[in-house]
Order: sequence, then structure tokens, then C-alpha cells
Amino acid sequence: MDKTTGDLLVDAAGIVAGYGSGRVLRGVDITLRRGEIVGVLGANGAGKSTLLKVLTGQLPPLAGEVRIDGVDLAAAPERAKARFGLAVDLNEVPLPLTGRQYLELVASIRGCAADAWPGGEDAIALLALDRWIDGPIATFSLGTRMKIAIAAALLGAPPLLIFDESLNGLDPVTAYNVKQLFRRLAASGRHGILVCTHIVEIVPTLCTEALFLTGGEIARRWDGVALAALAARPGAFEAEVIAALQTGEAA
Amino acid sequence: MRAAPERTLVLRYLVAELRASIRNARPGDLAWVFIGGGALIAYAIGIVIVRVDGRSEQLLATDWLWWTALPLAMALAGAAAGWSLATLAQSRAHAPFLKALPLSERDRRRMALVATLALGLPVAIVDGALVAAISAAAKQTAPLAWGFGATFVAICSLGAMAVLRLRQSPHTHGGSAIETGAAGWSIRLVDARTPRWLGSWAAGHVGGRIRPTLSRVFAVLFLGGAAMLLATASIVHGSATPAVAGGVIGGLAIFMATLSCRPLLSPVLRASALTFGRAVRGLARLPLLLSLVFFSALAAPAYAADPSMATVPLTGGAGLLVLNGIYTAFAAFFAHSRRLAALAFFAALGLTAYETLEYGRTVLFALAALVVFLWFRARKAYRHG
Repeated sequence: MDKTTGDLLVDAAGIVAGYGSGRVLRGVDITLRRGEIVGVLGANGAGKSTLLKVLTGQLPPLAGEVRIDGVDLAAAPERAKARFGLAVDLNEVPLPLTGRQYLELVASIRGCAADAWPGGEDAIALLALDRWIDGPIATFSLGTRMKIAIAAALLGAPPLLIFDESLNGLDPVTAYNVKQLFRRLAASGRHGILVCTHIVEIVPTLCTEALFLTGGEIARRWDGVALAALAARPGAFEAEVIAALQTGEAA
Repeated sequence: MRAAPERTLVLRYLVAELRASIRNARPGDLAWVFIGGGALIAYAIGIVIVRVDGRSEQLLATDWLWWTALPLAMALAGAAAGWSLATLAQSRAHAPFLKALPLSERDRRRMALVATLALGLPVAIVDGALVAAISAAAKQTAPLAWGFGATFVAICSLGAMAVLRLRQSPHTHGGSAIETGAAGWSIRLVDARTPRWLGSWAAGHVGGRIRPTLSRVFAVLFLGGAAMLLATASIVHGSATPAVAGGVIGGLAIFMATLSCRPLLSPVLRASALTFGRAVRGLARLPLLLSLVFFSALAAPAYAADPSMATVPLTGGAGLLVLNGIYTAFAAFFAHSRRLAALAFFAALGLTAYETLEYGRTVLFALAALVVFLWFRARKAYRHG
């Protein structure tokens, strides 16, 4: 893979962020290129969601700079935000709208058709949303809400796709389909994917890089080679993460 | 046997929420709220006291003011506080994490009532203290007794309204309830423009359809009846004023009642490329349409009543647009609470009106500056967090 600066979808350096006078992130550096799937791991409260909020312009960093696909998020937020799709939290999807109306809302914001899926994929079929798409989101199960959030993130095929705990609660078939989709999108070289997750076992087989956050800092990084080596030994990656978690708790 | 539930659970939950929000707020924002807001309130109270002191004889001679208007004002203040606090406490009594606990509906109501009274009592005492201070400034006999009396009226009204509210379903007035059932009228024509379905989302119209709920039918009948009365009054008296004034007040009330900027807080919009201006325009589209339809229904009879004064309906329409615009800035800034937005809007308008009468039109610049400040702060929060 060509790893030039032009491929950089996320370029964040020295991110310090928090709420009120508290600091949650203390100098986080993260880069993500087209073709990569980066997994972010960490215990509850480690700063994963805060990191995503900073990267998506929902929380201003107290220090550091974020560039999305070369665009400075602080200087041109709308232009930077047009470069990514975020699968929002279950509690944030607009409950009164039907699934189709939510997709139409997102499509109208992104200036695309409500079926402009990346790579010619049919996300509605892939996510098994056909049965639910015309019902109010308020009546959806948690898993179905997550599916519609994933579909909304994919609309318009933005180069950067961001998922926060989005694989939680999906049925096995859909979870498998989503992971395969992530692999295909990354392999196309047009997209990069950032996944925050607690499902540790999927990381070595899905991601090309993994970061472990603890106390608002990146405590460990695994590159593609290390992940591939760990993937070959069942349970090895989980053991490393658990050890890192226990070290973090002890610290 | 089941143990008696902890009655202060909802109260402690609300206090914990308040502490957390103060802890998570930026020092600058807290300074704005406490120093800026405190100074403004102290200034307003100071003005009232000075005014009352200057007209004490006149005020003392006006019996109805002390025996009718004051108790009524206290009762209304208590009722408003009771309703708001009970709605808040009830929503927490039915919070997801409490839902799983083995609490009966009666237990939840009791916990919500304890929280409402505990939080409402200081409000009533502050009301009473204000009345005592005003009574002292007016040189009324026994100002403390007036203060205690006012506190008593406010507490009674607060308690009665809280009980009334807590007897209703927790989802009746929360704004978060999802309506289902009857098909309703589609608002696709209004809401299908880019950004699509924003109005339906904000107002909670499921599937982009307005359902004929009892409160909506009542509101339409009330507004229709009021419009007919005002139009008739204008035509009978040959004056545009009643219809235009009613149109402006009703149009503003409709706009305020239907505008919700809560989606501005959602990452669906904040993490998207939608600009703040377009998002607010999308949210204000349907409320503005309803507001202007009501005004137009009264502008026509106003013109017919006095064609020589054609400028009155035009000026009224322009005034309505300006008021709607000002309120939009408040609604965007206080996107998390429509009540707070309305309260701040009326406080700002009231203070501006008073100061303008006192010191001239230059005070209007202060209101304009406040609106610009609120707009840009809301825009900054939307764009950057």
C-alpha cells in the first residue's frame, strides 16, 4: 500500500481534551490512511468516545490539531465533516423518523441519493433492514437501530468511516456481513475505517492497526504485522489486551 | 415483605445531575451563568425596588394590587414552578435505570413529589423574600407578614400543581413521547425540502405526520376562535389594531410553541457537513410557516377594517418576523430547554422594553448585540462542541 501523506484520512497530533476542568485525553496521536482499519480499544472511561468526539468535531481539543483528509477540522469544520460518516450512538438516532426518512435526511445533508452506497453495495439488504426501513425508528430493536446508524454512516460513500461500538448487539449474520463489508471497503483503497470496540477478538482479524487507550493516553499499538501474528494464535491478542487492561488498572 | 423504597432517590438523582453538569461545564460558561445572570437579576430587582420606593403612596392606595394581583401572581409563579419541577422529577422517576427496580407507580409518584417539594420550597421562599422586600420598599405595614403570606400561597399552588401533574402519565408533556396510532396529516410538502425531515424530527411528528391529539385540536380551536373574535373586533371598530396585535402575539406564540432546536445537540447534525445556518433554517421552516399563516389570517381582516392604514399589517408582519428571529437565537442557544429559551427571551424583551422607555432607543442595540452573541455562541457550540 502506498503510504503517502495524500492517503492520510485522519491526522491528529497531541490531542488533549476533556470536560470542564478534567482531562480525559492527554496527548493522543493517531493517523489513519485509506485502506486501513484502525481499532481503538480500552476500558470504560479510557477516552475512546472522547477521542471520537474530538475527531468528529463534537468536542474541541484543548491542545493539538485534527486534520480529516487534509482539511483542518478547527478551521473548516463543514468541509472536514463532509469527509467522514459517523455511525451515531443508539440514543442519538432520530426516533420519530422512519428508517427511510433518516437516510433521506442524511442523504440530503451529504447531497447524494438515499441509496448512494459505497462500492455499489446494497447496505439495506446487507444489513437486513428491508423489513424495518419504513417503520418509525422508535419501534426498532437496539440491533436494528444500530443497523440504521451504520447504514447512515455509509451513505454517500465518505472516505472515512467511523464506528463507535457499532458491532455490539448485531445478530451474527449481520455482524459477519458488516465485517466483510469493512474489509471490502478498506481493500478498495478508497476508504479508511476507525472502529472503537470492546469486542477484542475481532480486532486481529479485522483491523490493520490497533491502539490501546488507558488513562487518556495510547498505552500500546499493534501494527498489521503484529496483529497478523497474534491472529494466528487463537486467544493471544485477547491475552495481551487483558494484560494491558490489568496493567492500566494497576497503574 | 418488600422494604419501603428510599423516598429521596429522585431528589438525590437530580442533585447528582446538577453537580455533574456544573463539574463538566467550562469555567467561562459558569462565570457567564452565575456572574452575568446574577448581576442581571440583581439589577432587575434593584430597578423594581427603586421604582416601588418612588411610588409607594400610589401603590399603597391601590388595594386590588395587594389583595388580588399579588396573590394571583404568587399562585401563578408557584403553579409554573410546580408544573416544571414535577415534570422534571417525574421523568427521572421513570428513568431507564429506575424502570428495572421493583417500584410501584405510587412509589415513583411519591419520590417525584418529594423531589418537587424539596426543590420548589427554595423557589417559593425566594418569591416570598422578594415580596417582603417590595412590601418594605412600598412602606407597607408588616412586610414580613406579606412575605410569609406570599410564600404560603406559592407553596400551596406549587404543591397542588405538582400533585396534578404527577397524577398524569409521565409521557403526557415530556416532549419525548413518540406518538403512534392515528395516521395524521403528512407534512411531506413542507418537510421534504433539504435538509429533509428536520421539522418532523424536532417536533416528534412520527413518520412526518401530524396526528390530531386532544391538545392540538384544542389549540387549533382556541386559536381559530381567538382569530375570529379579533377579526370581528377590527371590522366592527374599523381599526386594524386588534387584528394585527392579535396576529403578532398569536403568531409569536405559535412559533415559540412549535420551534424546537434540540436536534442541534445531536451528532447526526453536529458531525455532519450541514452548516449551522441551514440547520436552524430547516428547524424553523414549519414553525415559521404556521406563525405566518396565523398572522396572514388576521392581516386580511385588519386591512379590510381600515384600508387607509395598510402600513399597520405590514409593520405588524415585519415585527413578527423580527420577534421570531430574535426568539430563534434564544432557542438555538438554549437548545436543550425550550422553557429556558422562552424565559430568557421574555426577560430580555421585558428588560429591553423597560430600559428603552426609560433611556431611549439606544438600548435596542444592547438587545441586538445579545442576539448576535447568542447566535454566534450557539453556532460555535454546534460547529466545534
